[in-house]
Amino acid sequence: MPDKRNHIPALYQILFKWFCRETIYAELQGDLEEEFHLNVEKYGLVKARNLYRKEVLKMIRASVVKVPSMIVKNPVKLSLLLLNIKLAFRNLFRHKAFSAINVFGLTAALTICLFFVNLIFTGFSLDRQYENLNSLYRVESTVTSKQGDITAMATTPFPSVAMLNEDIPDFDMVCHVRNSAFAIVNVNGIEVELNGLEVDPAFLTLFNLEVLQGDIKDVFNDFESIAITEEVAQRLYPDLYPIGEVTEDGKVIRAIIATPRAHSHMRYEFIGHLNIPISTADTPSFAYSWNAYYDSYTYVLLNGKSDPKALQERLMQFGNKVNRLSGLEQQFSFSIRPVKGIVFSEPVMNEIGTVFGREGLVVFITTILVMLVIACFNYANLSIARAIQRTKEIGVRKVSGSTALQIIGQILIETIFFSLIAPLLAIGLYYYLKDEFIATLPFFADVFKPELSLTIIGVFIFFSVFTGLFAGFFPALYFSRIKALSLFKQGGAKGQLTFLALRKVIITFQLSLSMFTVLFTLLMYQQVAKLAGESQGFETKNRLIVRAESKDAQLLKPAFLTVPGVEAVSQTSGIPGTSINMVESFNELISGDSSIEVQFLLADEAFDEVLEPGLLDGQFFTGKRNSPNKPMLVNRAFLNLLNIDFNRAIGLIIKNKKSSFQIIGIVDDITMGNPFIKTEEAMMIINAEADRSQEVLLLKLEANNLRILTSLEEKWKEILPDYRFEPEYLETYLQKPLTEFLNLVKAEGLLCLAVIAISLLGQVGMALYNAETKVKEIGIRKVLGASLRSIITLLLKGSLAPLIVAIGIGCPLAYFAFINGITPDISSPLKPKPWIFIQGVLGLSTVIILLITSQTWRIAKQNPTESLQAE
Amino acid sequence: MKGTHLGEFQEIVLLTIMVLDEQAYGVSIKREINEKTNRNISRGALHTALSRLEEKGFIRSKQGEASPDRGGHPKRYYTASNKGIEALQEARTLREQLWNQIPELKWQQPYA
Repeated sequence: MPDKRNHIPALYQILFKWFCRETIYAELQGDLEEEFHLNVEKYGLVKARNLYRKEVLKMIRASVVKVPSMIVKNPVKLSLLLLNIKLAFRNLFRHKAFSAINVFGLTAALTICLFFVNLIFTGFSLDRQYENLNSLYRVESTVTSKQGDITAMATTPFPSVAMLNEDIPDFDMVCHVRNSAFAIVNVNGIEVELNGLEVDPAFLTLFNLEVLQGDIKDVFNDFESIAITEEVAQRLYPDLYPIGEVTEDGKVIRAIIATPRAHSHMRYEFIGHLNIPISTADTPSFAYSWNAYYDSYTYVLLNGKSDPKALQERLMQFGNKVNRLSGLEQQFSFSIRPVKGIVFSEPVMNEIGTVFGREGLVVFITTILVMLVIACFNYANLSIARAIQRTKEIGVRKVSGSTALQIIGQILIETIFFSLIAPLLAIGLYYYLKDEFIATLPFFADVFKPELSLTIIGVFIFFSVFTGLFAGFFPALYFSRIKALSLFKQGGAKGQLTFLALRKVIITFQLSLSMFTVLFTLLMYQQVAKLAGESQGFETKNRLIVRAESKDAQLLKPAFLTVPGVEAVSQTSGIPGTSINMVESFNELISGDSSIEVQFLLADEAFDEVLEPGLLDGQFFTGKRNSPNKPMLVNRAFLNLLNIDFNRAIGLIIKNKKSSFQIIGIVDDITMGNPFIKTEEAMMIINAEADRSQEVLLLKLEANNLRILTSLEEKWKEILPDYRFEPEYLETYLQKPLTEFLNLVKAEGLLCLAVIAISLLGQVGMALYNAETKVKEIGIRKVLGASLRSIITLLLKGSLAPLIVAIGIGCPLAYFAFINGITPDISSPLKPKPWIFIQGVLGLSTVIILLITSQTWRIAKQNPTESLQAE
Repeated sequence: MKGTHLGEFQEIVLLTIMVLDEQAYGVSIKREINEKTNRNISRGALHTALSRLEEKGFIRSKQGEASPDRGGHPKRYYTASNKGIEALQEARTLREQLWNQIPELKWQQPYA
C-alpha cells in the first residue's frame, strides 16, 4: 500500500514530531502510522485521517510532551514560581471586591491612555504612504493687513502659486490645491453636500493616491470630472457602481480613491480639477485675485540639493517682488513647512485638515502621564494595604526559612500578576469603546486609526509590569528586611507607621486632584454656557449670508427680494460679530502721537430690518442721503473713545481727512462672536453709496427651509450662471469658533470624569480595606453597645482629614488655574462665584461619603458573634 | 508499599500484555483492550499507563523490528516482569478475599 502512506495528515505529523519527546517518538509515530493503515482498510481514508488527528491530539499529555529545557535545568525555582502564582490566584479570589477595584482602576486609566497614545501615533504616522514624504513641503504665507494685523496662514494667494513655480528653482514641482470646492449629490431626494479639493495634475505625482476603481487621470480631462473617496462611495452609492454617475450639480464621477481620514493630513471627500483662468485684461475676479488667500494651498517637491539658507533668501525676495505689485491691499511674506509631522506643528489659520499643534501634543502627553501616575499610585496604595494584611503570613515564612529574595519575589510576583490582567482588560475595553470615542469627539476622527499596533500593546504591557514592580517594591523591601519576630508583635514595627503615612499622602494627593478637576470642569462648563447664551447684539436666527462682488450683489438684492419667504435683504461690507478689517482713523481729533482707529461697516437702509440691533438713541438709516455727511450708527465704545457725551451725540458731525460723518443713532453693543477676542470695540456702521467693498448680502428669511434656498439659487443662477451659489447661515458662521472651544471643553470634561472615577475607586478600595481590618474592633464595639451610626462614623473618620485637606488644596488651585489660565483669553469671562465651589465640594464629598458608607455597611452590620469568632 | 500500587487501568494493561505474550506492543495492546473491554482508549493514555508500569518495574520493554507500514519506525515490545506478575497475583488474591467475605444473601437482588 505504498501510495496510501502519503495520505497521513501531514500537518499533524509535523505537530506531533514537534511536541513529542525524542526518546519515544519512533515508537509512538510507528504505532500511529500502523494503526492509520489498519483504519484505512477498515473504515476508509476519510475516517482514518480523522482518527489519526484525534490520536495526535490525545497525545498531548505530560508523559509524551517535551519538557522545555529551562524547566529541566531549574526545577526548584520553577516550583517556587508556580507556587507563587497559585498563591496570587488564591489571593485574587479571596478578596474579590478589593481585587476588582484594584485592577479596574488601572484598567480604566490604561484604556484612556490607549486612546491618546493612538492619537499621537496616528498623528505622527500620517502621510507615510506618500513616497515623496521627505521632500514634500507646503508653502505658507504671512499676511500683514493695512492696519498692521499679522496673520500666519497655511494658504498662499491664488496668483502666487504660478509665480512660485517660475521663480523658485528649488521646487522640483509645484502643486496648486484649492479646498473650497463642493459638489451636491442627490440621494433619494435628499441633497448631500460634499466638500472637496480642486487640484492640478501635479497632485498625482506629489501625493500618490490609492485608486480603488476607475482611472484617476480621467479627472483631469475636463473640469467637471471628480474622484470620490471610498467612504463617500459607501455612504452615498452603497449599491451602485458610481463611476460615470452625474451629480446634482453636473459633476461626473470618474474614480474612487482611498479615504484620507487617519491617513493624510488633508481632509476632503472628493478631488476635482482646478480651473485656473487665463488672466483677462480687466480686473480679475475676486476669487483669483491677490485678495483670495483663504483657500489656496501650494504644495511643493523640494529638490534634495536645495540649501535652506538660499531658499529662505529666495522666498524673501519673492515676497518683496509680490509686495511691489500695484493694487495690493495686504503685504505678504512666504515660508515653507514640511508636510511630515504637520499635525503637531505650529498651527496657522485656514488649515486644510485637523491640526493639534505643539500645544495639542503637550496636552495629550500630559493627559497620558497624569492618568498613568494616578493609576500607578492608586494601585500601589491598594497593594501596600494588601501586603500589610499578610504580615503574619510573611512572618511565618521567614521563620520557616525563606530568604529575603524569596519574600521579595513572592510579593512582586503577586502584584505583577494582578497588574498584567489590567492591560488585557484595557485592550478589550478599548475595542468596545472605540466607536463611542469617535462619536463623542468627532474632531479627533481625522487622526484616529482604531487598530492598535503591536508596539502600543507591548508598551502598555511593559508599563503594567512596571506598575506592578513599583507597587510591590516598597512592601517587598520592607518585609524582607525586618526581623521575623517583630512581625508577630501587635502594632507592627515602626515601618508600618511610615506605610500608613505614605498611604495617607497618596490618598490626599488623589483627593486633591479629584477636587481640582471637579471644580475646574464645573467652571469650564459654566463658562461655555455663558458664552453660548451671549447675545450678539443683533438677531442671528434664520439669517443667511451670501457673498458676491459688489456690482453683482446690487443686482441680486432686488432679485432675492422677489423670492417668497425672504423678508429683507441688506448689502454690507462685512459680517458684524466678527473682526471687521476696515478701519477709519480719526487722528485729527486728538492731540499727541496716539492714533484712533475705528472699525466700520458699510451698510444700506435695510440693515436694521435684517439684523434688528438694539437702538439706544436716535434712529436707523432712512435712506435719505441729502447732506454731504455720511449717516452713521455708532456704539457706546465709540462715544467713549472720542469723548463724546451720550446726550449730545445724535446729530453730531465728525470729520476726518477723508470724509465727514453724522451720528444718527446709537446702537446697543454689538459683540464679537469669537470667544477669544475682547469686545467693546468702537464701531461705526456707515450708510454709504454702494461701492466695491460691499460684497456681503445679509438676508432675513421667514424660516429655515430648502424651498426658499432653492428659489434663491434660481435667482442667483439667472444673474450669475457661472458661479456657485454658496450661502451660509449667520448662526453657523458665528458659532464656528465657539464650537471648537466647546469640543475641547467636552473632551476635557470626559477626562476629568475618568480621573475622578479612578480616584474614587481608590477611595472605595481603601475604605473596604480599613473596614475589613477593623472587623474585630467593630465586633467588640457592637457588643459593648455601639450603634450602627457610630460605627460608620468611626470608619468615615479616616477619610475625613484627607478630604478636608483636599478641599483646602483643590479650591484655590482650581480658582487660580481658571482665572489665570482661561479667562484672560475670553471675551466675556465668567466671574466665579462661591456657589460653584460649594456645589463642587458638596457634590464630591457626598459621593465619597456615600461610596464609603455603602461599602462598609455590610461589615458594620455584621453580627458581632460571627465576626469575633473567625480569626 | 507506596508506589507499587496497581491502578485499575494499569492492571488491565498488564493483564493484556500477559495475554498477548510475546506479541504485546502498542498497536496490539490497544486493539486487544478495545475489543475485550469495549473501551475506546487512546494511544496516548496507553502510553502513560505503560510508562508508569515501566517506572514501577512491572514491565520491561525491548525494541523490535521496523516495517514500511510504520514509516520505517521500529516497534517496542513489552513483557511482564516477575515483579509485575507478583503484583497481578496480589491484586487477584485481594479481590478474591473481598469477594468471599460478602454474605450470600447480598447476591440476591430484590425486585419490587
